[in-house]
This record gives sequence, C-alpha cells and structure tokens, in this order.
Amino acid sequence: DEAAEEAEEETYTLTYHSSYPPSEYEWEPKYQAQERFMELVEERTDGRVTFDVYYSDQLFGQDESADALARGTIDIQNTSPSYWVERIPEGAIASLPYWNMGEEHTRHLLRETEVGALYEEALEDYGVKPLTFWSSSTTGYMSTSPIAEVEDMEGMVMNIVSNLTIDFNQSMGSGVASLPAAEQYEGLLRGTIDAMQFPYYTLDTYNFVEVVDYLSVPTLNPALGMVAISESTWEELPEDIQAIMQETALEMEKDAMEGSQRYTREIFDLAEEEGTEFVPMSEEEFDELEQISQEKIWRNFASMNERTEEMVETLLVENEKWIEENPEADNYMDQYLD
Amino acid sequence: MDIGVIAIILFGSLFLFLFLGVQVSFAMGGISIIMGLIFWDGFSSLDGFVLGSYEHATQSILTALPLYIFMAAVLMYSDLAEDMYEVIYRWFGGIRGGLAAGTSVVSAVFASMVGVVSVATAALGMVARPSMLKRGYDDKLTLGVIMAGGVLGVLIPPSIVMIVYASESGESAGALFMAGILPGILAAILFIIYSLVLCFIKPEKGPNIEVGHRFTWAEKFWSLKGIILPAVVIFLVLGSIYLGVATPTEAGAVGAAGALFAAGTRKKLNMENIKSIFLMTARLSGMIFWILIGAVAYARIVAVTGVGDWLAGMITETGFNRWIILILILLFFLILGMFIDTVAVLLITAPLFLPVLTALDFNMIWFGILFCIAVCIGNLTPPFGVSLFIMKGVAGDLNIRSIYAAVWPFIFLLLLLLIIIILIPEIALLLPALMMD
Amino acid sequence: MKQVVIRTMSGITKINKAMVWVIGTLIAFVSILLFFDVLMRYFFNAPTVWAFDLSTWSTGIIAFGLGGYALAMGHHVRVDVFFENYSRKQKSVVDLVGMALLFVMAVTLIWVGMDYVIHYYQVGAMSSGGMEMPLWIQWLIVPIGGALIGLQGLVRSINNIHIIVTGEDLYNAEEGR
Ligand code: NA
Ligand code: NA
Repeated sequence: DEAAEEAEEETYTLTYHSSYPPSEYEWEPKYQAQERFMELVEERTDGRVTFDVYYSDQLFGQDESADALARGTIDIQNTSPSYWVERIPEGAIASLPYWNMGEEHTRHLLRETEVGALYEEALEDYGVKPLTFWSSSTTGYMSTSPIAEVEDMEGMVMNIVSNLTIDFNQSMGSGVASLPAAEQYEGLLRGTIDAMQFPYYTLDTYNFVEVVDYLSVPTLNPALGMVAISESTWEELPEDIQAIMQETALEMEKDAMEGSQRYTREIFDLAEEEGTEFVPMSEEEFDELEQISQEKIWRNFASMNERTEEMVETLLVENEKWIEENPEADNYMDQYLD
Repeated sequence: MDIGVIAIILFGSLFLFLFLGVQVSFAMGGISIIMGLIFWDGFSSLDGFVLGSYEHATQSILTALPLYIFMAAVLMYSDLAEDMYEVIYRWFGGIRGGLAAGTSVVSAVFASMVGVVSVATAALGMVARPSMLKRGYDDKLTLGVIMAGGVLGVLIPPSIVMIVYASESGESAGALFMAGILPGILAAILFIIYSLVLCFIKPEKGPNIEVGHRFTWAEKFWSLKGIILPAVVIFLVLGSIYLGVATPTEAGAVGAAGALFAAGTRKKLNMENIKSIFLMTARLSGMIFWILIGAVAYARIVAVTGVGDWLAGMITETGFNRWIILILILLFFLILGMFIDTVAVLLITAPLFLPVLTALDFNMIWFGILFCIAVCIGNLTPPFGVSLFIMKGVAGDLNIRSIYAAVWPFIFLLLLLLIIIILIPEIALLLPALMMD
Repeated sequence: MKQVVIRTMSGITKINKAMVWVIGTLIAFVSILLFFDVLMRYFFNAPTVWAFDLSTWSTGIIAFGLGGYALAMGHHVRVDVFFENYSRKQKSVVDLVGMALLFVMAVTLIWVGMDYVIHYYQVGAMSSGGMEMPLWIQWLIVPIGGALIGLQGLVRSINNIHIIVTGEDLYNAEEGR
C-alpha cells in the first residue's frame, strides 16, 4: 500500500557521535563498531540510512553524551559504559576486576544471560538502546613500579576512574588520585601518579608505552565499548531498517571479538619492543587480589541499587556455570600466572 | 539549505554583531543557540548548548583558571609582583627594553608550565603590565610581549594541545613535546630580539636607566631580598609541576596557597587588599568563563552544521601539489582560528586533514609543531582571538584598537617562525631524533 | 512605581555584587584544600578522595555564578572599534541587542538547566569524582547562574530603554545608583 511505499522512500540521516577518534587499522574492534557498521548499514539500506559522524566527543563530553542521546540531540553514541556510570550505574559492571574470562565470555554474559538483560533494562530506562558491545583488548594495571603482589600496592598513588575502587585501593595501602585522561601521561612521566588501571590499547593510542614501565598481568577485565542508539530515534525507524541495523550491529559485535584478541597480541608486542616489563603473579597472590576485589569493589557495586545487587548474584552463578560448560575457561588466568 | 549560505549566515552574523559592539560572549552564545534551533533539530539543540557549556566549564584543565587568576591577584595586591619587577629593573634596567625581554622570559616559562593560553594571559597581564608601565614602558610593547608570551605554552611542553593532537594523529606525545622545545625557545628569542632592537631604535618605548642614576651593586644585591617571597611562590608552582608533586592544574592551588602565605608574611592581607583581590578574581573569572561558554557553543555549531567539514573538503579535494595543500591547510587553521578555538578546528577537521597529510608523506610530528604555531597565531589574530579579549578584560582602560595594534608585530614574528620551521624541519625534529637514539 | 522598579534593580545588582564575596571565599577555600590534598598525596600517600569533585564542582560555580557580576560591572568584553564613537543612545540600542542575545542564553540555561536538575534528582545520578555527591546539586548552579545573569540583563535593559527615551540613567548598576 501507499503508506508502506512512502516509508520505503523515506531517508534517514543519523548523527553518529563517538568518544573516540577515527580508527587507525581496519582490523581493530573499534573499526567494526563505527566505520564498518556505518558503511554496511548505508549499503544494506540502499542509502536510505546515512550517517553524519562526529569523532572525539566534538559536540559534548563523554559523560553528558548519555543525556544528549536520551533526548535525541544525537542519534547514536559510541562510548564506554564506564563513562555513563554517574547516570547509569549498572554500567560499572564492566569495570569490576576479574568479572569474566575473555571476549567470548563477555559476549555470553551480556547477550545470553540475565546480567546483560539487566544492564539493557537500565539503559532502556534511561532512554537508550544498546546496539553493539565491543571488547577492545584488555584493561589492567600500568605502572612505574612492578605490581606482583598485594603488598606492592602499598605506598602507590593509583589513578582511578571509579568511586567503587576507592576503599579497595585504600585497604591495600595505596592512595587514590583522579587525574583526567589528558593528564595521565604527564602524571606518570613526572611521578604524580605511580599506576593506573586503564585499557591497554592506550599504550598505543595515547602513547602511554613511553611512560609506563610495567604491565601487570593478570589483566583486570576486557576493555568494553558500546554503541547505543536513542530510543526515540529507534522508534521512528521502520521495522525493516531496524532489522538491518540490529543484524549488522550483532555481526560487528562478533567480528570485533577477533580484533580484540589481535589487539591484545599487538599491544603486548609493542610493549615488549619498547622495553615495558611484564609482571606476572603467583596463583596465591592472584587469588588474594581477586578476593579483596570481590569483598570491596563487587560489594560496593552490588550495594548501589536492587538491579546491581541482582547483577552480581547472577554473575557469580553464571561464572560457575560457564566454567562447568567450558572447563578450559578455568585456565583463563593461567597464561598470566607465574 | 545550501551549505554555503549557512556558512555565510554563520560567519556573517558573528561579524556583524561583534563589529556592532555586542558583547563577545553573548554574540557567540546567542547566535549559536538561534542557529541551533534553525539548523540542528529544533529544541533538542538547546540540550546541546547546556550540556556542552556545563561540560566545558567543569572540565578539569579549566579548574586551573580561577586558581591562577587568584594567585596573580594576590601577588599583585600584596606588591609581591611589583617587588619582583623592581629586582629585574635594578639588574637589567641599564639595557633599553630590558624589562620587556625579562617579561618574555617570565611569560615563556610560566605559560609553558601552565599550558592554557587564557590562564597565562590573564595572570601575566595582571602581574606584568602595571610594573612595566610604571617604569615608562610603552603600553603597546607591554601588551604585545604579554599576549605573545602567553600563547607559547601551547608550543613549549607540557602542552594539552599536543596531547590532543597526539591522540588525533596517533603520533607520540613525548616526541611532540621534544619537538616543541627548540621552536618554543626560538619564538621567545625572536620576541626578545624584537623588543631589544625596537627599544634600541626608539628608546622611548622601553627606556633604560640613565648612566648617572643606575643602581649600585649594593642596591642591586639589597633588592634581591624583595625577590625571595615571589621567587618562593614561583618555585612552588614550577617545582611542584616539574618534580611531579602536583599536576599543572593542582599547581594553581599550590601557587595560590603560597601567595596567600607570602602576602600574610608581608602583612598585606588587610580587608582592603582582600576586597581588591576578590574583585579582580571575580571580574576576570566571570568574563573569561563566559567568553569560553560562548566560544565552545559557536565551535559546536560550526561542526554540527557541517560548515567546518565543507570548508575543509574544499581544500582536500583540490588535488594540488602537496606543498600547496599543506599551506592551504595551515591558512585554513589561521583563518578559522580567527573565529573559533583552533583545537576545536583540529577536532572538526582531523578526520579529513590528517589522512591526507599522511598520504602526502609529510612528517606528522613536524606538522604537529606547525599546527601548534598556528594555534598560537590563531589566539592572537584580530579581530577575534581569546588572548585579545582577555587582555581587553585585564586592561579595562584600553580600547580594543590599541590591543590589535600591539599584537601585530608578534603575529609577524610567529609567522616568521612558522616559515623557518617549514624551511628547516630539523629545528623541530632534532630533539625527537636524539630521544629515539 | 518608579521607585519600586529602581529598588528591584538595585536589589538584583546587590545580589550579583555579593557573589564576589561568596565566590572569592570559595576560591580561597578551594586553593587551600587542594594544596592540602597535594601535600597529603606527596608526603603521606594519602590523598583525599574528594579533591577532584570539589575542584570541578567549584569551577562550575565560579564559571556560571560570576556572569551576573561581570555584567553588573560592565566587564563583558566587546569589540569597541566602532562602539566607542557611538552616541549614548546608540550605545544603549546596541547594548539592547546584546541583552536580547544574552536572554536567549540565560533562558536556555534556566529552563534546560532546571530540567536537568530535576532529571538527575529523579534518576539519583551520582558524581563519580570521589565525593559521592548527587549530580543535581552540582547542576543547580546552571539555572541559578542563568537567573543571576538574566536578571542583571533585565536591569541593564530597563536602564537602556530609559536612556533611549529620556537620555538619562534610571539605575546605573556599575555605579550602584
Ligand atoms: Na606548555
Ligand atoms: Na584570532
């Protein structure tokens, strides 16, 4: 009928706002989440959808982009869940140390379990809908003195990005600082801070490899990015376009996993070339650190609201189940242990 | 609507309102909101204005702004700054233009550490100008030296602009820092030579102390006691940054606390002085932040209407010789830098320009330095430039014409620097190369 | 009637001028606290957790809260290449244009800013800078700052209109009469 035909001819220009600069390599996970996603959607909708793209948070800050998206000032935002935790605290799940066992498992938790469903619910309550979760290598401690055991944390100044980790760090005797990303390079160079927990890909993108002397492995968790769309924009799109976008987004999510693993290898190669030292841990020390982090950070997260409490409960159950079904997952951390 | 027409409305209305004499902040902010309502999705653009204003005003590097302004106000009203200039005068007053040269050095050092142009210009304008005027220096030279020195923080590391460029281009921030050192020093030397030569030819611009009236060695050394307290404050600021005790932002608080302590030691913290300090701090902070709120809104509208992209695309699509493209891009930064913050110009155009320049096989560290010099110039060029407006706020007694007149010689010196670095890239690339070995 | 208008104009101006003391004290206080934080971190490895929040929040207060004062004192910079040659009435006309553009900004800050204050209150948004401070408290300065400068703009507009009509000041905020 006519209405359907009209809808088919209607074109949509969506504003795609990214917290990140344009991608450098075609294999990197961010490339799948932004450039390739846009390219494929434009192609698959025969140009009915086109994108107006703004990189590097040109229009608003990373925190405020949640509101801009929810109110439809922009249509799509590529960002990290951790930037939105002031407004959507459930996103701090992605910053819990040792919350999962690699890219496959991250995807499983976010897409196939109640953990992800609860986070999606939180996002939708705020007026945004996640399209792609993309892992990008991994997050861990980068420091100017080695961290091989819990005692090494004593007397360190740790730059943190989350309130949840304050008492965790303090309980091990380290002080906390909150330098913004732009000041971290200088901070490590001059010794204002001694360590930070941050995505390892920033060794490359922010050149932290020049000022970081030690990488602590085991790593804390995969660095998680997210592409989300405004609910109001989503509702305006015809169903066939919604289907194309959703399908493409999930396809990119899978393709990004491989890129994420490759990114870790490339980053570790880069670190090795530049003389950054890898610091492994003994199994006992790792267990102790994991336990303290659960007692402090996980508990802080769980106590934020009913939903985060449920997320942690489910996460504990789901992690056990994953190991039962994938016995090799139990060895995930072994690659990093002494 | 045709993008060319939007561009004309956007730039034309700003030109019109500003030359009419409308306040800079309100012209930029008001135009941005109205243009947003028309060209950016109606009312939802208002969210863009408010979210962007809040984000900009509370971004962590700007927390330094009121702190350094406060520090400068304390130094000024407790006569600590004046004492410091008296020392420089007694020692170097025998040379024509000696104080101007001294101010260039002080500006370059302070600005390089602070790294945010608006902060350095406001603080130095408050501290240096009265002391130079009192000793018979020409106001035009004084203003020029201060504004020019204030922008050098972009070029001399540490530099936030370089960190932004590094993350956009994928180049090493450390290598950029190293690359900026020699060009930054060269810029300061050019300023000093200019001041000395100018005052040599026209002694009335920066008079020396007549031979019979020069200070004795005893007087010179005796004056040094006046420099102790201000030197302690300066050492606290620079030393705490250099030794990693504080970030450049936090060092503003260190300096302010130190200045309060020094003023207290001198028994200068009476009610009258405190009132003057508060009034000066409030006046400059209020004025500068509102200019920044207007400017960031305007930059956002240039981005969101696609005008920035459109202009940049005209250059990259010409297919000219690589050197012509390089020069066009630099000209683009210089011209657009007259209207909006050049770092915003970089963010808008980086996805277009940087791959083109890389494909044309230019060294991107070297280009980063050229870009930083363009940022310095963009802050200074009339009719619109953040440094000019801040100087006007500091020197409320002057009209903008005198400020325009004062800045031109220094713009030409920076253009000269730009040409020197284009012709002799080694000045920028020598230190990064040494660092790599 | 006229006296009521003048008294209101004077009241608004006094509030904005009082902001100098409020914010001056705040800046002095923040300087000392941040200095203390630096010392605690460097010498005792025990920085405070609230320093970052405190400094960005107070910068927001300083930025938005002083616009009205700067307007009361006529400190907002303009390009005066032609302006300085205008007659008094012409200056008032141009200044009215500026106030119209200011009202666009002020109304937006009051209206949208208040909307965010309410929104953050309802969703319980919390700052992540270490202070555990509700975001709505931090955002309050946006509508308040908009109101402070907007009201001062009103004072200035009334005076401008008075100048255009009669050639005389009704209430000159800079001089306080
Ligand atoms: Na600098
Ligand atoms: Na300019």
